[in-house]
Amino acid sequence: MTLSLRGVTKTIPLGDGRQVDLLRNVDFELGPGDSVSVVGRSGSGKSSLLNILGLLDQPTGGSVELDGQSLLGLPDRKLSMIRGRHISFIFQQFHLLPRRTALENVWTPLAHIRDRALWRQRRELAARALARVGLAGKEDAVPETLSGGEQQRVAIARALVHRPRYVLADEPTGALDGETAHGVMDLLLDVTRSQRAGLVLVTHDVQHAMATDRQFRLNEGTLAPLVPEGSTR
Amino acid sequence: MNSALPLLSSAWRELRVHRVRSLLAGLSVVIGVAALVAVVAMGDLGRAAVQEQVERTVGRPATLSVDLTANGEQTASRTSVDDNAEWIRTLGVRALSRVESRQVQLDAVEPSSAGPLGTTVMGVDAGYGSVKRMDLLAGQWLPEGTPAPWAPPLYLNAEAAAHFGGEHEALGSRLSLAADLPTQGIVLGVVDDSRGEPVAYTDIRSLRKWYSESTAPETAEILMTVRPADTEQVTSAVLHHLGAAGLTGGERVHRVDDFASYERILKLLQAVLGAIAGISLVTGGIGLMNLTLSQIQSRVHEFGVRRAFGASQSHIFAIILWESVILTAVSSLLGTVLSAGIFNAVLATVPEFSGGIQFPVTAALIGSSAAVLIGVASALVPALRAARLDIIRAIRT
Ligand SMILES: Nc1ncnc2c1ncn2[C@@H]1O[C@H](COP(=O)(O)OP(=O)(O)OP(=O)(O)O)[C@@H](O)[C@H]1O
Ligand SMILES: [Mg+2]
Repeated sequence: MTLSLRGVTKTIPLGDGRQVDLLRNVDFELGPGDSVSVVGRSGSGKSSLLNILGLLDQPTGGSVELDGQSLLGLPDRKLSMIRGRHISFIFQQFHLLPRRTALENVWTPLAHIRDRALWRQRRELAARALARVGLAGKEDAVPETLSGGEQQRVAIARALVHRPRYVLADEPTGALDGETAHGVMDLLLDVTRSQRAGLVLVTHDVQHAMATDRQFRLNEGTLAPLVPEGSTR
Repeated sequence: MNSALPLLSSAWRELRVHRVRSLLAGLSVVIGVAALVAVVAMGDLGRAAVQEQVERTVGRPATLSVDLTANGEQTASRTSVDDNAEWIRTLGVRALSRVESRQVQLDAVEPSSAGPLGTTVMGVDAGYGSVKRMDLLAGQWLPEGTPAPWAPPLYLNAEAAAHFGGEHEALGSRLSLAADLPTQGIVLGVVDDSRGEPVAYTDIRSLRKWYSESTAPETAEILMTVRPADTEQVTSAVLHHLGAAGLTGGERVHRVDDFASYERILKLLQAVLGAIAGISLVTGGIGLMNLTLSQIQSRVHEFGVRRAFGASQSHIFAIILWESVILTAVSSLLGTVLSAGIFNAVLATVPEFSGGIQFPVTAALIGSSAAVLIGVASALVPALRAARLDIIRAIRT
């Protein structure tokens, strides 16, 4: 049960007709219960890496594999099914659905998993997930009335309600102030650990990065283990 | 597939989230379906009104008149009328009546303020009430198959009854007839025959007693109603029979209810109204397509998020289609219920037609299915677009 990238390359066009390699021959592996963080300059391609890992985008070269099986070339229906069951996202901008209650937002993944039993239990499952992130009592609140920290906690509940194997979080605290950010980060690590979900955390905050098991830096298209400041190699 | 239930439920929920848009789109469907039903109902109502008028004044379809006037005679002889009527009855027509009409003065026997009334008196058989469409306003109509009544019965139409104080006043009153043999009759019934001028009906056997055969009546003929499909067959049989008796020449048998000419006008009217209804449906459909397209623009973010959480392209496609189907189906139902309510309310104001026409169920069904089809058609392009959205760009919007 490993999600991996094998020699992944992503080439993007620059406006003037030239191309640039955003990702170069990236190898990456994420097992169940792993927690990994990725840091890097703005524009270094961290989000692009997550999008490819989360099957939202296709690499230019190399392959994305689940348990050693390449997922490239699978039809949309299959990819969507794998994404819906096994991979979840947490975004910097929360991306909750406006005007839908917290409960409805949380059960969004259940609507797209072809599993009738899960759909019937959506209220209990969503309510439990909300309680888990400390938002019991906010079931009927719409995102417009929630604070940034609360919205991100709803998003965490949404990402974990169907117990996915992998959670891909792209600067989940980037839009939150320091104290709130720490609270949300602790919660995210706690919840993914207790569900034994693999976590990829993209962050600018080294302190947050250090809370994960492994750390990587994305630089000039290359993914390398993060070398602590001051040490030489 | 296991996915229909969540999709349906999500579609329903999304319709409620986008309440204003749904209401607007639904309204156009409600109005479209109601307009279609109204237009068809109007056509039906007009048709029923015209048909009723035709049936009252000239007879039900198909009514044939038989002219038995021999050469040199002014009108047909009594024996010719009787003999031929008897023969024609053996053909098994729906209804038949001998008809003899004369002009006469009617006057109240008891002193009254109403003066004498110059009127047409028509001697008929009971079947006359079936040949023509008449409504009984009071009393009764000539009974079928009884011996000639000793007290001459009179049946006034509404116009004649009005002269003698109205239908209830006139009923049971005794009137004198200034016939060859002056006589008195009792008013046993009042009918509405839509003639617009006073007429008194009586048993043809009574009428004949009051006049000698040498005073020719104004008209003498046989009227009958046959199944419209049998018209030609009956006509040729009767013509053949008359020809054998030397009654040839002229248009001896002719159809008097020319509903066909009205039919053409009605068909035209219905075509025009139908075109209007069709245009309103198409206009509604274009409006619906417009609304659906513009809502896709405003829902790009939502579709992106759903895709990220496992919705396949076909899921997104299905959600939009289902939304449109639910919206148009529910709106059609509303439109049908609404127009049925209006239909009944309008019909209550014209009770005389209430028997003749019914709520145009077919039109409601056609309108509703057309609305759902238009809903699906107008959702196809937007649904396809939404399904093909680039997920990452969609989430960022
Ligand atoms: N499909 C694409 N077409 C063109 N340019 C792209 C595409 N995808 C990404 N880019 C560009 O590649 C660069 C890297 O983008 P990406 O979002 O991956 O960086 P990032 O490391 O997440 O940056 P940040 O820390 O600011 O979020 C950006 O300049 C972006 O505009
Ligand atoms: Mg980024």
